[in-house]
Amino acid sequence: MHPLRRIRAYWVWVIFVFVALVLISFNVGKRRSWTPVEQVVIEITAPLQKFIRKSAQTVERAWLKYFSFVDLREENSRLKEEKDDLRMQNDLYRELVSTHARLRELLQFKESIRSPMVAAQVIGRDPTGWFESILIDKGAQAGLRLNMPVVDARGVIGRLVAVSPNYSKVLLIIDQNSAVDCLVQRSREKGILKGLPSQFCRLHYVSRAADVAVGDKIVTSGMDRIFPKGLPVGEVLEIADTPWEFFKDVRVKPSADFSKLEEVLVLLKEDPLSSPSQKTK
Amino acid sequence: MLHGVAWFLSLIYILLKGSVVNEVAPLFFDIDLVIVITASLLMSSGSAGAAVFAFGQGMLIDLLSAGFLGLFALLYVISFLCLELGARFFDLRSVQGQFILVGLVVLFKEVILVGLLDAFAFEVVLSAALFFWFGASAFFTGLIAPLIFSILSHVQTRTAGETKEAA
Repeated sequence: MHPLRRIRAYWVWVIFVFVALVLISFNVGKRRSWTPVEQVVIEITAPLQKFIRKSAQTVERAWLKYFSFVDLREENSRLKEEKDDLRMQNDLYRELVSTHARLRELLQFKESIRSPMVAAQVIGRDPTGWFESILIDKGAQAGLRLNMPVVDARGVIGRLVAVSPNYSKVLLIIDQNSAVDCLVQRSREKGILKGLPSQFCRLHYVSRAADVAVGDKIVTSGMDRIFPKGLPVGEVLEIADTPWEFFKDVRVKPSADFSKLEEVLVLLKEDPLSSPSQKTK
Repeated sequence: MLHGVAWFLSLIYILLKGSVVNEVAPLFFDIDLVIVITASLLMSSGSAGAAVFAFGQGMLIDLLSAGFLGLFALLYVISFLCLELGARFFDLRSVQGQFILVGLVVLFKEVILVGLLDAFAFEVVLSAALFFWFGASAFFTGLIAPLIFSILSHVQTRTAGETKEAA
């Protein structure tokens, strides 16, 4: 290789490493929304992601339908056509019923909470597999702002950590960077709920003297000023009380099923963590 | 044209990972197309384009993910350097060279990622299963590398042919 090209290659590398390190240094431990340039990237890529997700769902349905048809090959064509027709209608009906049930649950939940909310569809998940976040198809134009709580019919999902005009990123409560101030519903013991590497959470800072039992319901305390008080979060799954530890190790199974998120509700409440100057903007 | 195809292919794969792949694939199993395409660009169009590609794709992943901004950009730039250095010892024009170098870089990237996450107080359970999946990711990414190399090389040959004809 020509020496000049080699020098250029190293310079390119040094510059990019420097930029990446600067970005990490300025962003580690902080949560900030997307910058205008990043918003443009999201606005371009998110519709593509929405399309990919819809296509994948269609392919999945067709694939499942194909398998359900394999056993019917021996049937005569008339019966088969009738059966296929009925099956398709049935699939459609089931899909409608399941969508209806999900939306009814969401509606009931919406009615039980007085604050205004916006329904959004999940269009993508975290591409790394290491972090737990989702992308939803509503953004600033629908009234969404940073740190708004996101819930579904079963309970708390997470909070908005980045917002563009039409899309938002939600940090799920099962992510290790997430923290939710919670209460044990029965005994009113407090703790901070954080995500674990699995799809579970841990309730931190629960003293050894605290009254917590397996099966206890965990709800939001409202003390973090992000989540309204009393939203269901999960259920105590396991408690380890080690003699030399200050706190109990309380594992919590979240109420929401994070592997099947399709629609979520965003509670439209003002960002409690923004400064007064930001609020007036 | 080659860069356009490379960027588009990688973008689609990243979006697919966020939509489908991560839902069906085992946790921590990661066929890393970004590293394969970076290696292919490094071989066919030099360092600068490959470095910009690695950094850009890393930034895109950072934007879509809940991790720290710059984390994956840094990881892919480090991977790019590993490819650049590794290309002196392994021939990226041979199938064996592509398989070995890409696999090694994927493995190295996963180890660096765990190290960085640990440094940022992120709890990672180091288990045999985790390293098994890292090995599997490296192996399968290495396996897929010659195919991607050949697709991108075909695109480059066609583009070069069309340019010549136009001239």
